[in-house]
Amino acid sequence: LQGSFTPEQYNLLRWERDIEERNRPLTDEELDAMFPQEGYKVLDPPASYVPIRTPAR
Amino acid sequence: TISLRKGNTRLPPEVNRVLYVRNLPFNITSEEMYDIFGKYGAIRQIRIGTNKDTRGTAFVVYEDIYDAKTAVDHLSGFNVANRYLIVLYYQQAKMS
Repeated sequence: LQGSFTPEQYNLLRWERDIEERNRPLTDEELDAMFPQEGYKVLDPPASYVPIRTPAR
Repeated sequence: TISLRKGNTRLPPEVNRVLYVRNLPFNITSEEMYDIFGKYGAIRQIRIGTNKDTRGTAFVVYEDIYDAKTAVDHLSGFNVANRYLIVLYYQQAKMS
């Protein structure tokens, strides 16, 4: 199967996998583990907040 | 299947979805935070400093890594209430 890719395509594919890994959805537990436990509080979004949907998602 | 999405530029390794923001006004509201940072993409979560040593700083988490990059590119040095924001990529090792 690998023979069907040019080296350029292969690199592009590898890079896309890397970005997919860095861009996968985060769970609340992962977020909690990421930040200092003290000195920060989660800021609730205002009632008026509507997230922008980006074309990438 | 190799897709050519719009953001098909390589991202340097330090780029990630979590931004560390400094020099925020102490009295900034949730509305203002979501207004400033929400312009660049959907926000996963914002954590704001509440202690003496963390006030004026915040962590902003974007849903998408490309949005986080756009935000850094546009918001570094952004003027809020006569202060210039410092917006950096969060590096976990440095913080702990």
